[in-house]
Amino acid sequence: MRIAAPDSTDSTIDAMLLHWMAYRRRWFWRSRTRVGAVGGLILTACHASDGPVDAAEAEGSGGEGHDVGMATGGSSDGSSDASTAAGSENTADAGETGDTSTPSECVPAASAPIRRLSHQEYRNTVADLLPGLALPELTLVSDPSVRGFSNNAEALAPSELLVSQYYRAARSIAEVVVEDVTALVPCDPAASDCAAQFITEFGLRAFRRPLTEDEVERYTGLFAVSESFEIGVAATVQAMLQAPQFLYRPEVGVEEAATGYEVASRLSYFLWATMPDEPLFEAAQNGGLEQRSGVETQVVRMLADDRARAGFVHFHREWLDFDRIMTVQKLPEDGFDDPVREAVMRSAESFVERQYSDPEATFADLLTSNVFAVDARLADVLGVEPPEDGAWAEVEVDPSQRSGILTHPAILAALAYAEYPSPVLRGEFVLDQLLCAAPGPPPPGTDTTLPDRTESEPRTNREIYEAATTGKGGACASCHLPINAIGYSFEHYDRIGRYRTLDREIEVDASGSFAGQDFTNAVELSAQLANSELFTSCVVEHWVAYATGGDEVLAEGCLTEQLTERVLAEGLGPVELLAEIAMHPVFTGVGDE
Amino acid sequence: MRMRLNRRNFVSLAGLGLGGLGLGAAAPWSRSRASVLAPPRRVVFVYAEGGWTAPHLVMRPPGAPAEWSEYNIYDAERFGTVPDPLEFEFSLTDSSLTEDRFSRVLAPLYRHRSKMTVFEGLAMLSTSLDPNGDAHAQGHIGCMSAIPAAYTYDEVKSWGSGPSMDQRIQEFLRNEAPELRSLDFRPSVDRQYVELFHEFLYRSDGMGGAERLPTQSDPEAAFDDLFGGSEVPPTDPLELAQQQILAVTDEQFRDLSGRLAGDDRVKIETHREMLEALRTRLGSQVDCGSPARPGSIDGVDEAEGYVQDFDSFTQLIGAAFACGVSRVASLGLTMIPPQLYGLPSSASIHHEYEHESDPFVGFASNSPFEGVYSTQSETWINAYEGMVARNVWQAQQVAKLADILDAIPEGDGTLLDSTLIVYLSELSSGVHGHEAYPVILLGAGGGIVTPGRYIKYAQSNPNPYGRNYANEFTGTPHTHLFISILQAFGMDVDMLGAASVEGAAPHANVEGIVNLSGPLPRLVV
Repeated sequence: MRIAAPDSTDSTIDAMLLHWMAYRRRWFWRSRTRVGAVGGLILTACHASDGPVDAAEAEGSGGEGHDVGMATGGSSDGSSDASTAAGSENTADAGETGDTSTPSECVPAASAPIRRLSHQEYRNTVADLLPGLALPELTLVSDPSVRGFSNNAEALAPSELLVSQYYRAARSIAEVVVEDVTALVPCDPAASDCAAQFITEFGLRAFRRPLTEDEVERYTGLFAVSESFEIGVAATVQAMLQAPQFLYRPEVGVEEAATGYEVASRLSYFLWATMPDEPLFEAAQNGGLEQRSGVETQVVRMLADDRARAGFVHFHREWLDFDRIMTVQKLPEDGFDDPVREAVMRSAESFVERQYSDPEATFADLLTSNVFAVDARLADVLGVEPPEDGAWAEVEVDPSQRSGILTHPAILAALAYAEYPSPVLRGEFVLDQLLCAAPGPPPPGTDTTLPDRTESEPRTNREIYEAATTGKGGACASCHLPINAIGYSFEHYDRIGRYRTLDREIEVDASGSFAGQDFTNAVELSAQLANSELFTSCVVEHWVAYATGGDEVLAEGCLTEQLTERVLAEGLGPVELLAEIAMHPVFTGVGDE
Repeated sequence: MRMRLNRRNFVSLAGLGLGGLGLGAAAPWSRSRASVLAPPRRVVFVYAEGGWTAPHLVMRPPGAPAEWSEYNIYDAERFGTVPDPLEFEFSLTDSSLTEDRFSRVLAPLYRHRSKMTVFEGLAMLSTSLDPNGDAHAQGHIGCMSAIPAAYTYDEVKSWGSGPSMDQRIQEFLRNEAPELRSLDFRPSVDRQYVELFHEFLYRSDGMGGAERLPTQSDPEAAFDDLFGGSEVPPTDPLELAQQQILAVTDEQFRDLSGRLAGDDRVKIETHREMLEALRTRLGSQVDCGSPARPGSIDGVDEAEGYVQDFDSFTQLIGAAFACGVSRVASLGLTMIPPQLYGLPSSASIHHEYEHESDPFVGFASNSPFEGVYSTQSETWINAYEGMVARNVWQAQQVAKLADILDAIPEGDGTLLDSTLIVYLSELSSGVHGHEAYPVILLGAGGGIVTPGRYIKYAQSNPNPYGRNYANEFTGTPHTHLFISILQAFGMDVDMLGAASVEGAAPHANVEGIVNLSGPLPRLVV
């Protein structure tokens, strides 16, 4: 692909974003895992192939473009014209790179790849499967994260340690069960058929479908060799909690169509991150999920449940990496202790939860709302009047200073080093997570050493970064121009997200340009992003990836494209998007009536 | 816990070399079999995060030639552009080398000097070939894998492209003994598993790439996993039902596997095999004496709990090695509570100490052997001394691991004689150095090294890449040591990652190829 010279302005950034979206589809998705790394301050060309590219050496139309190679060996024919692409947000035009984003006919999915329950799903499911029990603390090694999400089907592989932990968890739960089985058993233990009834009913819930005859016989045999009814119940529970039919979501379908129970699981794990409830099981059993109307009935019901709200917040927590605020290193003098970090986390979750609660909410609100929940400690960071000690209050922060989640400390403090903020981290975050246009890793030989700040003549953070990156010109600038242009917009926020007008006694410059529009600060940039189709399509893409466990075909293909078109055309809000995904034939495998 | 050794298990366990452990009554874990078989080789990788204070690790014996102390790698002005071709070695057990003459960092290991090998003059040159991540990330992967990472993410982090050394050996050994466990321990405050900012350990993902290896932070859980968790023959009915429970579960896996294809089937089969291995372990009966179950840390101060758990892990390694359930272990000394080595608990170790302790500042004009710093900066002295204190504390912990293994008799010696403890860090200093990179071996690994020596290697290779190496000439690649270790285990390996790297020393007008392949010379005398 070809991009314009580094010293171009808006068209360069637009072209880069468009090319990166196509470039990323070809390379990053093949890599399976999150590779949206900027790789330090000093970058060369935005590719991962053979080394830095010198714009001055490149040839092409206008004599100012230079090729950026493809990581997987695919090469651009160099025929793309940055000036043509600039201003157009039709990503299909990036087809010169070999991208196959042309919408194809969307057909219902017969079955999805087998997915292991993520740890969140596992814990929720165990809690819902065994209500009324005082469950022991369950220790599970961390799940791998792919593009921020911990439910990627391909990445959730078993390990020896995890298998051992599943065993210990199931065993410890069984020890609780054996103490009081009455909470689980629906019949009189003395009754001759009670064991069979328990196996059948509990098994249906544990495996999220009726047991087969062989399975009933298998678990009946386990019961038979158990010393007592209570041991039989506990042993059955322990065995089922370790079975693949519990730990995984196998979808083998029936006659090439997903069964009702499989559809029920798809819905419940997408919207609630847990097992289906009784009404959903009944719908599956009675054929209520064989047609779209039935699916819609359940989806509407499920979205009104608090579990959907929790799932919505969880999505944002992973997508925007809120957990990072709990571990990012800060200097003691900033007082960014655990209570402040927890307050930041709670405020950020509250912020996104408001989007769920407000029926009028739009995707833009994520980037433009200036209502934050604060306690006294967080109020100090935000520079607002604190509520009473120990109390929380929703406040409208100065709209000229803060707008949306990008100006919240959950993002700003997390994307900063201990001593100073990083426009590179912040810019890369926006490109990757909000525009799905992550820059590639630096080429070999790139020095990623952070700049020395002990110079005698004070410079602003921006000036230091400029000297180390775009100021070097050439290949470094080709990546850092768009990254830093966005990242500098956040220079009004220091290393823990406090607003500032001066940086080392020098007036802060947070100006830049995005998509042909100038901005003076992050508030204006956020407004531009909110109105950007790139942002909308990226959010949809993330939701589809989350819903499908990172299924490349679905996330990259027609499902995302169709839904993006509907969001843009019909003004669908976040909750409406969830409903559309949940009801889409490609997701459920249930076609139109 | 004492369980009976039955015929079936004896046959299988003898194949793991257990029969050679004629442990005496004084040993923590005694065995009934007295005859000796060929000593097995085992390895423990101890990775201590945060870098060395190499100037306070290196040492010279009394009466050493003056030229042994002339070259100061940290004096860039005098030595930055000249090579150090000197190679020598001396015995660590010489009577003149009393404990007070050991360097501060090595002194805690004095009692193990006869079974210790110290390497000076190595360099992590493999990281020069790694474009991914910052010096920390390169060091983390370089020190345990010696191969470049797969890619960079989050600006400075990197993801491994292949198994780390411990997993490379583990995967090789399991070809013949699938039952062998890999012990991957890393104590953590309150036993909360925390991902490191950069990771050390990787294993093959079965698809040509690598995935991070999860580590166990709970010694009690590790004990239960290794030794079944029961101290008496089971009488609890739920305990008695465990094998049947797992048998039923295995049938469920086989049922599902039979209906799947491709990657789905592979995933389920892999899980089933792991569960089967767990079932085998739970059902095996091994006469390993009575290893004590690790204690709880409830109500224990977090720093004390960290130490308690580290000690528990060393005990588990010893027991697992003695029982033959494992031959490979890794033990992390990471995220150590600073108060354990005398620093404030709230200290920002990375920025206030590591980054402020540059040896090229403190030894710029005074050799480490002169005992005088080249700066009077309180910041530097405070930071550097803090890092020395950490290295000393780390060495004290490693000495305890060696104590455990050296207390278990085996044949005419101890378990330590047939085990190799590889003690390393990801940096040679707190400021990203990859040269002047120390490595310490404890044990003889069954003869892959002649221990009791301090070996100095030449530092005369042209610098392949300036980022992590301050001088124009750098040391002998640590890759050679790793290749030696792999070959000692029987692996047909002569190269890791790359066979060589190009280097240049402009002032000396030297350019050349630095060989990264082949074993490390002088390991055995």
